[in-house]
Amino acid sequence: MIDQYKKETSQIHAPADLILKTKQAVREEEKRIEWERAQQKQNVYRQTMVRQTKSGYGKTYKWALPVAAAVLFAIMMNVSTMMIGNKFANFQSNTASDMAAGEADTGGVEYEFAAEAAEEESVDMDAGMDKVFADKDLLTESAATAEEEGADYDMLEDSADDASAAAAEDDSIQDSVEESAMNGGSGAEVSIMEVEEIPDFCEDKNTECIASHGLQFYVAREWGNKWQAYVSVDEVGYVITGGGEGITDRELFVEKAYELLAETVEGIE
Amino acid sequence: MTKEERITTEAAIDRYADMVYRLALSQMKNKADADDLFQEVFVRLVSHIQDLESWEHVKAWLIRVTINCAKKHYNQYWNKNVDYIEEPERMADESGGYEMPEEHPVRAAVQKLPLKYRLVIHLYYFEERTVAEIAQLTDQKETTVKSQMHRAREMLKSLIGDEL
Repeated sequence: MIDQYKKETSQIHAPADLILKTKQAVREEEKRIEWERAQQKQNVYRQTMVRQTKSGYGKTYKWALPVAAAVLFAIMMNVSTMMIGNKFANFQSNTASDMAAGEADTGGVEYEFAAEAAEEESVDMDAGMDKVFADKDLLTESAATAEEEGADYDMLEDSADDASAAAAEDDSIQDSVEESAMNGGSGAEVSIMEVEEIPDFCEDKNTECIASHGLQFYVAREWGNKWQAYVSVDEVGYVITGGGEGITDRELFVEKAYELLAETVEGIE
Repeated sequence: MTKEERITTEAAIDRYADMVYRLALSQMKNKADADDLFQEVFVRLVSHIQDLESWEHVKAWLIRVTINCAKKHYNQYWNKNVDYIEEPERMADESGGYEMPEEHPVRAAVQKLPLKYRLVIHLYYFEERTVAEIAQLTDQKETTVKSQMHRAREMLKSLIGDEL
């Protein structure tokens, strides 16, 4: 049986066409495997390049953001400083009219915010400032003359500095008088200013609306014990700023603000 | 072919086509399935040829993969539950093919055996593998192979008769 089985089986051969078909299939499989390997190499190369590109982009992006943020912060600080400077300049020009009228007093001051008075004040203020600049011009001319004649320019510059220092001293005297007038001797510093538009701090999420004496005060903390509030009376807006040791919360500030408002605005008791 | 011949898939086809084809025929129910199995085995060889160090290694690999692919074929649902009713075809060309029962009575009797018995008979009597080698190729114990061999011979006796 064994020999018979061997003999019968050895007569069987793989068909030629099957062998050809199989060889063709093998060649196609070899090509497919080669293509896959090439694709894998390309993918690895691409991933490496993308990683490098991304890391490069990431490096650039990392530095750009803090620099941009710093530049923006510097711009905002400058703008804020300018705005604060303008506010103080406006306030000083408004209060200078009272001083010029001779009503500065520690016992109690009535503030008038008439538009015409404000214009006079600003004119007076401008005149004062012009005087300072005129003095300076004179000094400059003298300096030029002295230089031509061989005089000491430093000496003349010192005298110009002295003139501006004297003007500053006058201003500080005015400030202290104003402060004492505003305080009324209570230890808290509160000031009031008429505004045409509702200030931005009213829309801040930390701003609280407090009703007091029939008025709506929009109160926000500036910093520490410094507060600011906005109130509208007869369609006229006022911003009251200030604070002090005694003013530790919004309600206390609103009380002080109302007192100042009553002193300043007609029709409020 | 010399021993120094480089091991490639095409060279393996030239060398072992008949061996794989005979084994495939012994494992499958019909010629078409055997042809598919033949092709599948050599296409698989393409991705593994680099790992094979010698022609003996290639031969053993081809036998093992042919057996495994045949098992996988029978484990598929379609092949488990569907049986062919057509008559086995005879190849008209000279290279032979699936033989008719009257021409090869012993082979025809072997084809009637269960698959695992056919395999051990073919590997033992035609490929002249030892019991240990058959056990390794089929992932079985040697005692199991011996037992299968014994049963296969008993069944063949009853099919072929005293001529064995």
